[in-house]
Amino acid sequence: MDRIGQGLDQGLNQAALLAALVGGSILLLIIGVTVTNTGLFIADRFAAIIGHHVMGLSGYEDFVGLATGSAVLLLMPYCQAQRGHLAVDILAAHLPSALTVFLSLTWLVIMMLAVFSLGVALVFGLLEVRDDQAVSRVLGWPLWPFLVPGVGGLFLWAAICVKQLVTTALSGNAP
Amino acid sequence: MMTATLIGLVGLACLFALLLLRMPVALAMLTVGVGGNYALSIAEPYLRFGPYLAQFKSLLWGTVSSYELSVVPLFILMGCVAGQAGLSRDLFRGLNALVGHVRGGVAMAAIGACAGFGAVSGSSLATASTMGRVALPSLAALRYAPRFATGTLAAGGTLGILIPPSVALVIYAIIVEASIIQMFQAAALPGLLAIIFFILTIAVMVRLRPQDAPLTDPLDPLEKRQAIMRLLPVLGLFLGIILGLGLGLFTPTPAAAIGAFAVILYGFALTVITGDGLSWAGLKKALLDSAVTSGMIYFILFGAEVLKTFFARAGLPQLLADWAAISGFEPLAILLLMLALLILLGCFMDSLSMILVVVPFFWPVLVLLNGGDMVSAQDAAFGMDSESLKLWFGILALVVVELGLITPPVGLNVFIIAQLSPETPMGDIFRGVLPFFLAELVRIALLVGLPFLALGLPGLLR
Repeated sequence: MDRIGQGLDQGLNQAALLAALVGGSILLLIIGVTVTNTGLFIADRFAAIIGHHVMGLSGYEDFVGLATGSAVLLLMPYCQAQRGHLAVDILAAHLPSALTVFLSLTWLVIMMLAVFSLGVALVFGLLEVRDDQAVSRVLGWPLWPFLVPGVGGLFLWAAICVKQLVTTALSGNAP
Repeated sequence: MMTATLIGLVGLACLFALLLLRMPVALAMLTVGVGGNYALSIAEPYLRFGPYLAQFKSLLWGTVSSYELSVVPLFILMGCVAGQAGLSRDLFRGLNALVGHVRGGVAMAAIGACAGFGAVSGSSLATASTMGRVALPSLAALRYAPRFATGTLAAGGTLGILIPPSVALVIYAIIVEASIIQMFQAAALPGLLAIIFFILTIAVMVRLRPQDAPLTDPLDPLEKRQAIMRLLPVLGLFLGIILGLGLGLFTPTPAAAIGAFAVILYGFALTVITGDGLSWAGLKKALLDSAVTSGMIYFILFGAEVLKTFFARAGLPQLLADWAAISGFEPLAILLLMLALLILLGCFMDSLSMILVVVPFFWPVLVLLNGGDMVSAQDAAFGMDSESLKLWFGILALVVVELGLITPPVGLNVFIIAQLSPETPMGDIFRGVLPFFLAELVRIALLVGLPFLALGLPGLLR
């Protein structure tokens, strides 16, 4: 049972790490596309001198918005795995440890429920935009595929919360 | 008092209670926002909960896929890569080579490096942490007094929030619908003023207590030349981004992307040439670090969006605006009251949450006090139109917010430096920070009294 638990724990951590790296790679892709777009605009300035024009990338802002959305939701599970969400320590540091553990567990339960609900809501959102055949404004790309990584990211985030909940409950120590 | 307003006030109290009980800031905002809207729907049946919940299908996606906000993860990534590529180290060594030989010069170099790195990282906490790691060992080796060294770095870390391009400036601009570029322009002079004030503070401190900053031997010419050669590209990079934004050559997202690209390229070039730049492992570490920071910021942005809706439906911003209008206080007195409240809140809230939670409350009040959204500068209570007021108040609010980072009892920057220098008692670090705190108060007084310090550059470049 322990081995299954450890395997699950490592698997979730690895999944969060992988999701963060995929999200980070999407950010690198945005950087690449932006540099290309800016390069084209600069080339246009020079080309204008000799009466020519170079077009920038059509739908650049569309792409950046959609790609950022996918990337950011993939970064969330790793942020949770690292307990990166900001909290204020001023009072909690002086509370009895049992109360701190209780609070920590409570917040993890609420976080898990909130993130899971957001995941469910995004699934409904995804189905809605797919049924509506919603597309991006300039590129005309269908929107729903960009929501898929987000749904995965949110459910992975909720799973990380469950993992942390179990770890905290078993160890009896608040992080 | 109307029921909705009462629910709003209870929600505000619950928010602070949850924050004090260490609930993650974003989750506290989300919980109070959703819970408050549910309570409103019971008290005021026309504020239906079903349609409110239905918008969550698209609200989260709308927040994370905003083109305007895409600048945030890109600037964060740029800062993380800069840290991994050793730009902070090169900045400190280069400035140290230039001024390190004068008394207190190494501390002054640390302030300059904090400002430079703050410009790239856009985060005060990241600046304090990175520069603390880089400069504290050097200051200790040169026998600088621990109180002086840690105080300098904790204060230097605050420069990150105001030196453009700063994530906090971007988020403030988005909240009040100001031009991000004009915000950067408005922050330039106050940021420069902070650097000058901090360096003057060091000069005064080492004159009063020379034993705190022993004189150091000048570097040998070869070492000095190498350090300066490594400094030049870093300065070029920072100036390129700042000038590109300030002169309107780039919009913020391309500036962040090009900045990140240039830092990655420079880091890899350094690895090829000198062997101590950016490695693949460093890039992976930067991606993961930026995942944590970006994830945290976006979740707070989403939480703030939910909370803002609740407060708006409860009518709290309007209540505050009405109170301000009938209170009989001078507009400037109310502005000072707001700034004082921000300092107070800074003792137990982080800067970003403060901007996101408090600014949507304060901004409508200021607009009302100023004479409305369309008022001309001649008729306005603050002597400036709404657009200028956005810039001026933004700078004041951010300066005050950054003061919270070194204000006891929390002072997040002080905590970060304390972790890097565990042998220095926290009280000593706070005492070391005190002269800088006083310098900051002088700067705030100047910015309140002389608005053109913030408004001059945007006016000139408009």
